[in-house]
Amino acid sequence: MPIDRRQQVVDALRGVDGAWGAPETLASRLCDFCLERVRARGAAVSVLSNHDVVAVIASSGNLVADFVEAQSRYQSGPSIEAARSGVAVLEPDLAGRGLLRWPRLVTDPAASRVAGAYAFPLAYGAVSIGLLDLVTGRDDRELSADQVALALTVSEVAFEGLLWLQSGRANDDLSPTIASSGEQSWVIHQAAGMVAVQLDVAVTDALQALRDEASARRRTVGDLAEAVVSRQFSFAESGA
Amino acid sequence: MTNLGELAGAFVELADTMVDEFDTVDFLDTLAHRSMALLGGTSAGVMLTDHDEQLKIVASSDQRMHAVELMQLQATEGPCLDAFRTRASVLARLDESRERWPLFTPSAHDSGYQVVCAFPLRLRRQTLGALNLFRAEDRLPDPGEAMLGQALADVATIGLLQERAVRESTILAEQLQRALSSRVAIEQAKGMLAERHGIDLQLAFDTLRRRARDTNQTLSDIARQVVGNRGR
Repeated sequence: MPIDRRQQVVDALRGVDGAWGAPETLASRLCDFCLERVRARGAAVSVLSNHDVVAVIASSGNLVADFVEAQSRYQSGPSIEAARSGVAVLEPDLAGRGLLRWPRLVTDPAASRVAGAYAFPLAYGAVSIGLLDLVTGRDDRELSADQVALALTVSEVAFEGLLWLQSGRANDDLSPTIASSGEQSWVIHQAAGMVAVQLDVAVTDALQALRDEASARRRTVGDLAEAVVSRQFSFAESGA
Repeated sequence: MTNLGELAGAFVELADTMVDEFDTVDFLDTLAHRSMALLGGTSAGVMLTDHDEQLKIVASSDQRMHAVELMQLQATEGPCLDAFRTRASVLARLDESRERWPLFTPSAHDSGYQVVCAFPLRLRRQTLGALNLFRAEDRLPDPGEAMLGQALADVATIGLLQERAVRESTILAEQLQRALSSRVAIEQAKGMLAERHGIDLQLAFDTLRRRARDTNQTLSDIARQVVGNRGR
């Protein structure tokens, strides 16, 4: 059942042709899904660089877009914290506890119609490449544990999709997700850290480099990661 | 047999989650290491369920343990999965478990283990995961040790849920996501330090731990900083 749920999310976020589409297309599908299935009042997807919100690439409307924009302006708020920390920041009661955490933001008119804010990083460990923001309105109930769990699954799948798109391989099959049990070996994360230093790139790019190299050599990512960690293979030497 | 002072120390440490800088990964590492010391285990590890109700490895005392834990997840059989499903502790000699776990048993045996134990992390209706304890020595835990193993798992569960109550706004899914994401960041940081300084992963981990202690920050925070600076 839970595995089916992940597959349902993957199917919903990919087009009928099975492709992720352009980043904006994926992002707007993501927003639609969050409104219809997670039942959020508003949803927005932003891309990040260096932990800062660079641009909102899709949103369900002004309610959420204005809210994210105001956070960028103040450099404060749940989305900013989620982007910097790489972990989800959930504040169902913005006017209550949220006021203590982000006083300027919460008293801004852009926040006046938002009741709860839920920011999910599209992240790989410490590095986020994007952000999924969900909000509830004044008349809505707060998101339940099930709704939040679904949003977490959505953000994991969206990370995978966005990473593929950033590497310009939109129509590739969804690689085994990092989150799936077969690929959850710590060796892959250790190797991504080593490759990041070898190539002097972010870990997300290092992960992508590992995948590309593995597919070029027709090996699994796990196998190649083992070779990197045992220092039998290095990107520094191969000139890759 | 078990040192009482050590025992008391473990319980106090595991109950002490009402602190500002609580770190789930650190906490579960502590649980694994304390259990090993108190129960005479060769290796220990902890798995938690995530928001997709899949078990994930959050702590492992060593690489060999990690490999066997992964194997359990891939084969979808083994003591940890049984403890999680049945919500009861599992104690087994591998010599007698071939029928029960046809895939897991030979693989755990090859890794040098003789006895495998798993204690569910459960409280009331919730089951969060399980604590694994493996022995190279062919001796099942006596009833007292079995009780102690479950008691350690219980106090750790209370600690985890208490931490949840401390931050009212966070819910279990968020906390587990945070733990899993921290684990990834820690492994990335280990890889970066190992490559940058030409050291092995264990030494890289010790370096992270020392930095965390010296600067009074959590292991996860230090790992995120290291990854942000690409191991510098």
